[in-house]
Amino acid sequence: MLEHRAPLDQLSRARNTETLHDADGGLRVTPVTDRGLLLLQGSPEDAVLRDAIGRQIGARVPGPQTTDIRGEYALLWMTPKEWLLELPAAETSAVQGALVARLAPSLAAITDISDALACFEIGGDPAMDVLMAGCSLDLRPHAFAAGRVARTAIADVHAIIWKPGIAHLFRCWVDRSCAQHFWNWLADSPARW
Amino acid sequence: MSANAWRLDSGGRIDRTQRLSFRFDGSAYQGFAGDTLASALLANGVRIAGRSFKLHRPRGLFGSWCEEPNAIVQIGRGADLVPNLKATQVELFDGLDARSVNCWPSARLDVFAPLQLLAGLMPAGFYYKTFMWPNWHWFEPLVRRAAGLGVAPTLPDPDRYEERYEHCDVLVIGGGPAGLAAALAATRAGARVVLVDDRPVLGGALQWEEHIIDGQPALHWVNAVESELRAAARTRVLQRTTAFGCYDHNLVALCERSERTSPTAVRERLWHVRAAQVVLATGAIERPVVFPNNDVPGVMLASAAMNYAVQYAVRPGQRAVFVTSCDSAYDAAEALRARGITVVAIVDVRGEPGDSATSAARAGIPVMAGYGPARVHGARVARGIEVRPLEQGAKSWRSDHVQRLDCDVLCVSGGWTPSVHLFSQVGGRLRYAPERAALVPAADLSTIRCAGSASGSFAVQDCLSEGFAAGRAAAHLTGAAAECGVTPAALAKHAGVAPFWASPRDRRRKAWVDLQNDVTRGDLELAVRENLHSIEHVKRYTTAGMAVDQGKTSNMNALALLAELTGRGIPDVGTTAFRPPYDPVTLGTLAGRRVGASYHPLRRTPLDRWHTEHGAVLEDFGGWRRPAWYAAHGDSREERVRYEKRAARTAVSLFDGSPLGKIEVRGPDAAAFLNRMYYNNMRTLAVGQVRYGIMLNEHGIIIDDGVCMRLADNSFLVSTTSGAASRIFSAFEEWLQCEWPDLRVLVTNVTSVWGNVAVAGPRAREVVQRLGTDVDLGRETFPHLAVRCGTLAGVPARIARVGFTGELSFEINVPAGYASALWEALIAQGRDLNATPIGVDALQELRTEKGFLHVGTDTDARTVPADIGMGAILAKKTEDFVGRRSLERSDAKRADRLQFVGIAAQDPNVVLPVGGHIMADPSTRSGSQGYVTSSCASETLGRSVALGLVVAGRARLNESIQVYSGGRVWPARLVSPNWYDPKGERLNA
Repeated sequence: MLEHRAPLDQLSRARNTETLHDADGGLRVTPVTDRGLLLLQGSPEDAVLRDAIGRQIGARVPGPQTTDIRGEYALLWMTPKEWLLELPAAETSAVQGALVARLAPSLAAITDISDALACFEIGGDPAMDVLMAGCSLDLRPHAFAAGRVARTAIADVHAIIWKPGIAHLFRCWVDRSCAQHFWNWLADSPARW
Repeated sequence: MSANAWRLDSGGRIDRTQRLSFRFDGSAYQGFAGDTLASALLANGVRIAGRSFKLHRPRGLFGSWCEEPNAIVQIGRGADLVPNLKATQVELFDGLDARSVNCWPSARLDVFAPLQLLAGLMPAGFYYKTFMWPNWHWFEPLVRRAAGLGVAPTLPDPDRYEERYEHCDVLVIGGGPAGLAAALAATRAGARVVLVDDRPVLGGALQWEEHIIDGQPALHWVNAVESELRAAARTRVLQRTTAFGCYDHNLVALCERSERTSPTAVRERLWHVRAAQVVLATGAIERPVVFPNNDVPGVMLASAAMNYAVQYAVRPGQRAVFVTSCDSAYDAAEALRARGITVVAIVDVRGEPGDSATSAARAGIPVMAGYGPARVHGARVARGIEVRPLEQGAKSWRSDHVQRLDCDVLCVSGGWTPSVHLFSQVGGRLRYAPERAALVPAADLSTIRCAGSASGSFAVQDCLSEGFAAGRAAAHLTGAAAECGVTPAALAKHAGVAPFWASPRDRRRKAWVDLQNDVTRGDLELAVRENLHSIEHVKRYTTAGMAVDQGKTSNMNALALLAELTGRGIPDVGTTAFRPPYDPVTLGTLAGRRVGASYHPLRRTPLDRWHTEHGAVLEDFGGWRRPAWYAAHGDSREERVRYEKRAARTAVSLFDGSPLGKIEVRGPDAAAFLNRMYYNNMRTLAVGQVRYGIMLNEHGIIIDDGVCMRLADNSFLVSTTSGAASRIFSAFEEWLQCEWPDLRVLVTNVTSVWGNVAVAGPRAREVVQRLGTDVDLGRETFPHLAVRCGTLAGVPARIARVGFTGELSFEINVPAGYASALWEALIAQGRDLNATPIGVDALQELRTEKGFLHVGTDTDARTVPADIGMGAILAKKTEDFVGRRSLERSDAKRADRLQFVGIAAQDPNVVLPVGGHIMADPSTRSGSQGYVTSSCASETLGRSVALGLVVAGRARLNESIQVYSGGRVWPARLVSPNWYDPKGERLNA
């Protein structure tokens, strides 16, 4: 059996890929490797799809730019007909299989895209300022509250950014091929504004 | 004259305890903390600060901030060199090394100075006329050397630049009385406010004008407001920050400059601010007056003279004469007089100047009402001015009586021009207000309002009330409606002005309109004589207002003079548009952190680390960083590529194909959908089969090619070329969403989900087999153009019998996380079989030998399927597809189209140059019949091979032709493109 490797392990040469701290210790950037990703495609009007999601993970289909967080599961709105299910990596294929079975009658697709994206948690007081150096969205708490999700560009690469809670913490998913650039960019960020 | 003759003994907002040493044009000087380079130069008695752009005339300090047209400097040396700065905006620091530009060896002793004797030969547009024959480009290098504003540094900039996005309710631009009042009101109302000011200290003109605000000296009020704003949690104050561009939807670009406190600090920061409401409190710039010799050093704006005397405690001169048409110059004169500078006279062009004149006279300053400036005396520095009585209306002289006033500084004020640049950039319209002698905003925009001097309200009391009202109104519109308190009030001052642009014409002497671009009144007259009446034409012909200052001190006068010359009113002449940047911005600011390795994020494959650790020469291929070839054992590129190719032809090669586009197409109508997207028939593709296909745009042009695999009845995997994945995915979505919403199809871009390794060569099957798989790899059971899903080395895999090399080939897709381990396993298992990683260069040569075309290399933006020999499919396919209509046009069926063929050089050792043209008669160097698109040497075939697009190529096989490139000609022959294994036996091995 071949070894499964995290994005940065395949990309970086000598760089420490443990948690990144800035000089003041306020910023924490952590590569997240224990989360899986399923892309759900279908119609939000489809009762079968809504029912399948409800029964499988207890979530409702979230509306534009929002998420529904249920324990270890987070369902993120992507487009009017696409959602991303973030879940423990170990459960990915079982949940995928179960959803595929439930959705058999519908025009829907469940794709395991865990390996397509790299996940980073960016936390600490300076997190927002660090991200707003390369992201045109308004990430201030009143404008980007807990549970908000957006697809945008950060540091010139496509990114999915969402806020799991009220803490100064953002979770970003970028294309696996851009993980090194994104990491380097964060490591080079202005630590304090 | 000693230095202290120019520095006042007391006063000013400079720190006399902190002496700073600096150099200008090689000479050492000293100044104080708080000085600008300009004030420090003046304090050292330096009168010539630069040379003019065209004629190299000596020029002195004219303004005191961004309006300065003359004192352009470059600072630093080597990599730290910064050109195109204005001495008035450079904050003095210890060790500053500044040089004037456009002169040599210095502004004081410029060897090009004699050019001004040739002024008569260089009127407006002279270079359009003079350098026309035989070709402007012959003269351009010489002209560029003689005229310019500094040199660009040749070394990479070592400084760090950053970028920042910001959002706010109310953005206030300008930290003068109007801006401070606006920010104060908006902050108190509860809005999220950003206040931007381009100077090192807030207050704007309150730093040097004397006013009483809310019963206290203006600066006390400024300090109180600043404290209140800084204490407010939701308000951000940005100093040393220039708002240089205002764009649609209230996007404002700012450039924040650092204080140069440490060499490692960020030097400049680009802000993109998105504001719900914008208040433009950008102030106004004083306007000079056009009269003979008005460019001699010593002539300066009255406000600048006051600024130097009050803020920097510098004497702008020892004896001052004021020439004015407005009241504000009286305050300046009084400020100078109060600091011991002799004010010889205030020459007011107005016959009845009113109360200001009365107070001045009372203070002992002689006022010459109804007089105008006739000429300045002096060449390298002003020595005096001749004044003459004006007729009522100031259009002509009333008498010949000329009076000479001796002075060494001449302070001019023709009124004020509102700084409407940002307002104009977003499409704000202006109107002429004759009572203010200014173009002012005609009406506020829905989310952008002007306040204070920027809207033409020049009196301080109006700036405060307008600013406060604008800040409150803007905040209210964003829902912030808390109590704002009382509007700040100032003791009223006079702000009367009469329109006066120029003295009556003196045809013997030059009068300067645009100091930075050396444009005179005579140039404008010439332009009008040559029938250029539109302001847009006159501007471009004379270059008035086209220098780096965008005419901050010249536009209005040029406009008014053009109106006069053409007998029109100012509103009929109209205005030119302002464009960003308001003030020059460094390229470093715009680039930010996008330099070096971060210049453009290249995508990396899951094997990137392996490639870097194994000597791969990585290059940019369609946005992906990929191995071109693997440097090893000191081999040259040529040697190594030959080795890599040999491995593919004789043993086994491994190629990282991860960037290959992968799009899943699923649903009951998937086959019907793909049948419409592909030129080829995809309906008949059986499950487990793979078909090569091309895609067209609506013009019938080939936009991509690749293989289409049917994984199940309702499930396809489309493979696109590496650079085209997003483009084709978007096209799929567009057709589905916009044209065929009835089709029950879902498309998913899974390019990054899967790593891809192509194992190719006669021993490929053996190597794959060794990894262990549940897929039957047998020649009969898994033939060429088939696909199987299963496991390989214990992980999920999709394996396709396709490839680009022309050999037995397995393209293996595994989830990207397994790709690097798969690659290592293949290397290990294939070591005894000489399994060799190959790069893009080898692959390109292998496919050239095979005659596989590469879309975009062997096709161009005109190529249709018939041009590559795929015309027959059209007749067999009955259903419609994207591009079908266009293939029916007569042009798509012409016999003389460029067609894809092989080209065989007569000499097998000659590798024909890519881009070389096929010529009927090379001696004429015309009549191209196509060109070489791909070409390489082939060890396998024992000769060079080439592909190309040639007029009616396929009908001309075996015809002798000539290939022309760079003056050389090679005889060659048109052949079939299938050089290698034309029967495809090796593919099916």
